[in-house]
Amino acid sequence: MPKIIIDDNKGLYQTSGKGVVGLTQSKTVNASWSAGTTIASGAITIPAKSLITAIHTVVTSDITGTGANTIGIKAGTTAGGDNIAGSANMEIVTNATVARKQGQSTNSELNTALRGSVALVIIAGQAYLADETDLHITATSDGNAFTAGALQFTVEFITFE
Amino acid sequence: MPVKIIIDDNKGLYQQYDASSGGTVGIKQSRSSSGDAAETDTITSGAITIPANSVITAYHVVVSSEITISDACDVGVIFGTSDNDDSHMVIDADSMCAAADTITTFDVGFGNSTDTNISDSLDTHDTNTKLTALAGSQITGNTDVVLYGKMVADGQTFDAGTVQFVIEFITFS
Repeated sequence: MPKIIIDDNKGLYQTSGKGVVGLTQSKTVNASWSAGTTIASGAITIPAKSLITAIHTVVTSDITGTGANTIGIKAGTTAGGDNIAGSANMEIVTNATVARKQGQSTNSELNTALRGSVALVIIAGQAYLADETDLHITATSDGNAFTAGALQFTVEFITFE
Repeated sequence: MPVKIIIDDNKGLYQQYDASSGGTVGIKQSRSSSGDAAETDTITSGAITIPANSVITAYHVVVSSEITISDACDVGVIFGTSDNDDSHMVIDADSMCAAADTITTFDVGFGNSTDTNISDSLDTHDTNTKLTALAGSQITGNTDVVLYGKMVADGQTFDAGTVQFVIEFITFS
């Protein structure tokens, strides 16, 4: 059963249920590094009959690594998958640190504002989800492992009536 | 009729509205309506009410049930009122596909948008041209505006399928 909460910190928000018809929605997950060369969102459930309009990634805690890296972002319907958006570079790191507030987006203007190296691109034909679908967003280092950091992964979408 | 807010397990939180209903101030909104093929040269949405004092920020169209066309032709999209069906988006006759593309079927998930990135992500057949809203027509005045989306086949008929027409907008406080 959907649960609607109003509090002073977040205003109006929903903790469960299928989303909202009539609003442009977003679901967001903050994921912290725990091990290895990836930071993963986990499953972000998008309701049936939805159109994905954007995917954003923002560094919320400095990402550090054991050496210089290229960090790519991808999105798929399975953990580590890329069938929704193939890997695109968020940042080419030369000093092994990506500072908080940088990021990447499928929106060109926002990607520039976030200093993303390359905008993420939703694969043609994958933006519309006829059935309820779990979306997984993954940041991957192409070489050296991460040692710390956190990313906020956000999906914007519209659910049809 | 007053605005009615409904919460259920299928749609979550949603607003039931009619032509006299307002929207939501402080949140970007979207309203959608589907249209079914009926062996004519157009597929038309139901009424999509945009509240007074709103700015329309995007239009999208998405095929939600496979569309079949009697023969390859130019296919475009318009948005407008019942009295003036291209008052908000005039026809680009081949914004979905051109006759030369020789397409007679639109797959589920094919579509178009006024947003470049979304238009590209809906371009399954690699044939669309981004939609363009008509300059000067995207802000409603002191009254609600009821819009309809139409997909138009030039000289052919849509024999089956469904299209979702979506409008995003912001209502001013």
